[in-house]
Amino acid sequence: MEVNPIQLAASLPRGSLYWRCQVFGWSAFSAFEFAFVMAFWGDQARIVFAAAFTGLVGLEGVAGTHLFHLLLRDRGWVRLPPKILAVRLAAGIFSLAALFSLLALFTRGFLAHAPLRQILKPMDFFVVFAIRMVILVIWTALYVAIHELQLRRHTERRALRLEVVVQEAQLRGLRGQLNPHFFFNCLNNLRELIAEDPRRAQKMVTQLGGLLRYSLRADQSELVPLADEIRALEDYLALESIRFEERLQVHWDIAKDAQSIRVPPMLLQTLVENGLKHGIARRPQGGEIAIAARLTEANVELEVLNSGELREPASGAGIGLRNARERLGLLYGDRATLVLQNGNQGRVSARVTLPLAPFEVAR
Amino acid sequence: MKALLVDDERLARAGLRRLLEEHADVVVVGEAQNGEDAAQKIRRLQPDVVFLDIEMPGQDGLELLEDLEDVPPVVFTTAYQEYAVRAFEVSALDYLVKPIVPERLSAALDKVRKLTSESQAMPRRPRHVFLRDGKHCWIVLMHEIRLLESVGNYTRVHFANNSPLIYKSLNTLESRLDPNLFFRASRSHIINLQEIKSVEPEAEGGLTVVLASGVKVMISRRQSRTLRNRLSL
Repeated sequence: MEVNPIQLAASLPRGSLYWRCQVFGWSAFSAFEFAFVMAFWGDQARIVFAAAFTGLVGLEGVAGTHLFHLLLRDRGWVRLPPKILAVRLAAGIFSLAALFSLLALFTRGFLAHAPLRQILKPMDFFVVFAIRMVILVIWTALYVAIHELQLRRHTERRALRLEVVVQEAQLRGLRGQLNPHFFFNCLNNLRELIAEDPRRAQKMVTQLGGLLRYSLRADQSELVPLADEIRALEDYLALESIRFEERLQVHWDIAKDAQSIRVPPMLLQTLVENGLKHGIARRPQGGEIAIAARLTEANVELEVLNSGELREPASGAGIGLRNARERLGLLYGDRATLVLQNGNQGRVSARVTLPLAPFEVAR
Repeated sequence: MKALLVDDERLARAGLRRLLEEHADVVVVGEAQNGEDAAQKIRRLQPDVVFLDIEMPGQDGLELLEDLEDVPPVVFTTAYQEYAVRAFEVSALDYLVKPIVPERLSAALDKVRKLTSESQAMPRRPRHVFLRDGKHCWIVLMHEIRLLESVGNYTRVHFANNSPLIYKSLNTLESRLDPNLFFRASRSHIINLQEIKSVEPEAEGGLTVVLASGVKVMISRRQSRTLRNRLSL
């Protein structure tokens, strides 16, 4: 989601919170003012006047600070550099406090029918002014603090969302895909099989369809039961057997309790494809692919062994394996590993270890 | 027309065989599924054309050709376009991209027919060798090679307007060449005897040969005696 910083600042503080604070804060101030006035006048008869006065003072407060709010938000003061903002705020607070004080004194004088000379006593003005200065400083400090807090929270949320979007895009890019060459070979072989063995050709189309459906279905950041992956792999190997014929032998060793474990789709397929390409296909006599899955205490281990030998044991990873590694990194962090090495008996082992505990899936 | 089919995949061979059945003058004399097998059958069956899959496990199609003393007319078959382009530079008869289209196969067979009718006029088809450096491949008429020079582990082969550096030792290449046509001048040179323009004597019974191209090649002392005998000087 695209959020531009200006919109973000303009939307802050959010409406409901702002009005709740305004109403609560100025009601509290009015109550305080009421108590103060009553204490001074001490005249129960003038309670109505006192209430009216403090009510007006509260409304003035709301109106005056709302002007401030509009300046800060709509005029974009909050985005000014701190120094300029401080000067403007100081000037604003000072003038607003003076305005409030005059208004308060005149209101009080008017309500009390006092003569003008009595209204504007410097000592009175100073006390009233000081109280309003303090109130406005607190108001402004709270306003800016809440604004900063919300801005930071928004920025963080936005960064997180961005991270998820990037990871999803990466996963899409890295997802296990069927190699176009594989399809191409399948179609070439299919062409011959249609003439030679139509029944087998039909079966081949079914297997190809199933495999294609599987590879398209899987949302690549989600995990699938190992049993599903195995089923797709059986189709894949049946199709490759049409090409390799007696040059390819397949052995399965899937632990029963591993069947329901959830794994990244097309991961085992990538390992097998790699084994065929770099192992079996290069050997005139062909060889064997062995696929194993077993559970350990905290992990599931998937291993693909193929006849052959690694040329460069250290790197020895083509695009397929590199993508698989990156995918594992995105899905599990450093809790999953993929190791490619020379096994015993002239075989190459590609082994993936995945954590069983709740996955740190990127979303 | 005798055809040999070379492909590691049985279905691919079966498919090509089926397509060739449409052409009455073509007899498939054999099939091979790897380079070694193919080399044997080429030597034994002397096919008029070899349909050769380039990508095969073990020895691939190009490596197979490099090993032959006499390269027969070749039509490459390939699933990959990039190989096809390379094969075209090879001056092969033709190349077919899989899946093979019957019309393209007919066109390729026409080229083979033209070639076989031409070579039938000759007492014997002249020998060809297959050469390749990093990027390019050539099927060269053997008698068009003028000179072979040893350069470290490589050999520079001079023919027509080309002189590629081939990653083969001079000894390896010598074993593919016709000894009636080529002469080992020294440890580092093989010359085509037909290219000799003049022979100049050197001190202590040595010889220097001047080739038609103007290049002078020193003959080692031991080989000078052999050369004298061969040229009956």
